[in-house]
Amino acid sequence: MTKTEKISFSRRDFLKGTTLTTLGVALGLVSPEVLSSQEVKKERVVLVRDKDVQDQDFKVDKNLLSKMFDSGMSNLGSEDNPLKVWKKLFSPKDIVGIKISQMMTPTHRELVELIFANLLKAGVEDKNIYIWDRDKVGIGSAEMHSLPKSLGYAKDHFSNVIKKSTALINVPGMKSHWLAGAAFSIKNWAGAVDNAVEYHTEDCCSSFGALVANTEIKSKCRLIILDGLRPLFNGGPQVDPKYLWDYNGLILGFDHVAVDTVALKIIQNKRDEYKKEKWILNPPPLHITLADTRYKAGTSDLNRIELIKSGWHEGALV
Amino acid sequence: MSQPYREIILHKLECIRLRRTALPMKNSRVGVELASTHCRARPILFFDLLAVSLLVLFFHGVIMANQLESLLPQKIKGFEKSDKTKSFDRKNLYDYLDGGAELYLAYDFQQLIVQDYKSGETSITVEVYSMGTSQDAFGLYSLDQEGVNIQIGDRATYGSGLLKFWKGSYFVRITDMSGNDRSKDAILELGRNISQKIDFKGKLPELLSRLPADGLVPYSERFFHKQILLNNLYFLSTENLLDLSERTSAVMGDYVLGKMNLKLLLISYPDTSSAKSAFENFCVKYLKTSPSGSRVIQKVEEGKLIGAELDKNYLWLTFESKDEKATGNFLRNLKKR
Repeated sequence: MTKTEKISFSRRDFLKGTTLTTLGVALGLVSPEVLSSQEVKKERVVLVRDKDVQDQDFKVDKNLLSKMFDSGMSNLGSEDNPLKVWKKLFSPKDIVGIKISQMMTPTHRELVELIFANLLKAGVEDKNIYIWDRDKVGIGSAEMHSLPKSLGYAKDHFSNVIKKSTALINVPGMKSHWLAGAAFSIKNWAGAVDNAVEYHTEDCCSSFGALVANTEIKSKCRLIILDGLRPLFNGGPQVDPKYLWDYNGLILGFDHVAVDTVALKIIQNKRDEYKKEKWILNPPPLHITLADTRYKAGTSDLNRIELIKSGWHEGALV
Repeated sequence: MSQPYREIILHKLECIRLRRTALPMKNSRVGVELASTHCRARPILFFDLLAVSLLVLFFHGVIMANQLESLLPQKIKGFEKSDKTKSFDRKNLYDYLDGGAELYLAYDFQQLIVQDYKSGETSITVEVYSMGTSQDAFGLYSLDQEGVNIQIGDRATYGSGLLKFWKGSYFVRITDMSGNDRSKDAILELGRNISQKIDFKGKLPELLSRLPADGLVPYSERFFHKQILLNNLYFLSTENLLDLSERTSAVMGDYVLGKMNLKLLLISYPDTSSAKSAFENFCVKYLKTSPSGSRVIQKVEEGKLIGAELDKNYLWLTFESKDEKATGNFLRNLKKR
């Protein structure tokens, strides 16, 4: 799937709710009842939270995070034992590429360490685990934080880590974004190509969906773990700390668009709560809905998402 | 300019000068000696000039980064420089702000330095952005003026561990990511220290003075040039209906006029025909109406009104108002200004 022509979409279209309806629903502008209520196969998305996973200095309690993560994986794979889910998803022969985010609101180190530990338990060899953002690559647990290597990009602009990997895990941060509206799992792949600037366009970055619709990413990405421990709900990627909040959550799933739709609902609700009135993301994150409607990369229809929540419920915002 | 760089550039320029002067003096012993002493005598080539230009540009960047670095103190209130200073220009800003670089590039961004300071486990990050004009430094600052006003630089705000200020052609951010005030004293002291070393005041964009003062919500005015910024402040369309570009300047402000709230956008175009063309395009494509004069007030979704007033090379636009008569009066008064 390649990028297509730029979309023409205005504030008026948005308010009429006649197009990109699922986006209107996620932002709370349109009633969910307008969407299909037919019985269809739903995409599972898991939200797991723990009130105490971070202390007041934002230090992560790794034991609590591990418990959260295990619980989330069990719910995602419908297994009592989370290791069974890991083993279903990854085989000892796999070369696994873990795409993190190092920009401004980076993926937490403790989460990266837990992913490594679980992959090793599932039998994946340490030397076959690659972790990277842009062209900074670490191979094996010894390099998981330093990312000292550079593997470059293939002719199609995608990172050579993607080419090398047989399986991918996407571990983005959770933030609003001044140019794309929001930056969750779909946008995280912009850090896996050397032509990211072509996707950061003034039409609200409408073509990010092409990245997740790319055959290699679509076929290899087996797990999405959105790091929502301390998300950003205004601005971004540059951080104004007053817009960070201790959500203390992880959002897990297999469908990029479904995961991002849930995250969008949470961020939008947080904005409304902060301002005590509707405070729509500017610009609207069209790329999430377009990843569904234009690129067929997943579902942005909340009625077609099975959301399983566990752990701390207060302030879940969804 | 620091001495080694200055000498290298002067040497290279001298080589070229010598080539130029040495050639007619081909048989002159002095000329040949001079030329052979410093460099081979041959015609000035395009590539020589290119090399010098690139060298000058490169060292200009290095010098600018050094100048910016000189703004940073080594130590302040128990916080000390921790890592090396990082420097970014227009080409590699993406390395620091992937996906955020476009915001700065939409203004006349020149150079950025980033420096971390540490005191025990607590760290502060200082970012100094050097802009081509003080107006654009203000523009960056103006995008989010939420916070408590502080007397630093030409204008400053502080809130939740972030100090932002603008002075001259510099925009400065000092952040403690904790989001609380534990490092407030050090942050403010750092800000004052940096500000004192910038020895010229900035000039506000002239366009700002055209905004009517009555009803303007304090510190709500934003200055920018391009569509990409407008959509961040107030999403209108994925299409550039108002033909915004680096050739245009725009200010946007929030107004409370009695019971009416509205947003006012003023755009300055390079000439009257550009303004007229943008006005007509906006009316036809967004308001779905053909303008018969220089003013249009159109009801859109949610019972809200959009007003547009063409005035020579200026285009005034109002959004979010709900009172047609009051909006008309407001637009009429704008034109009288």
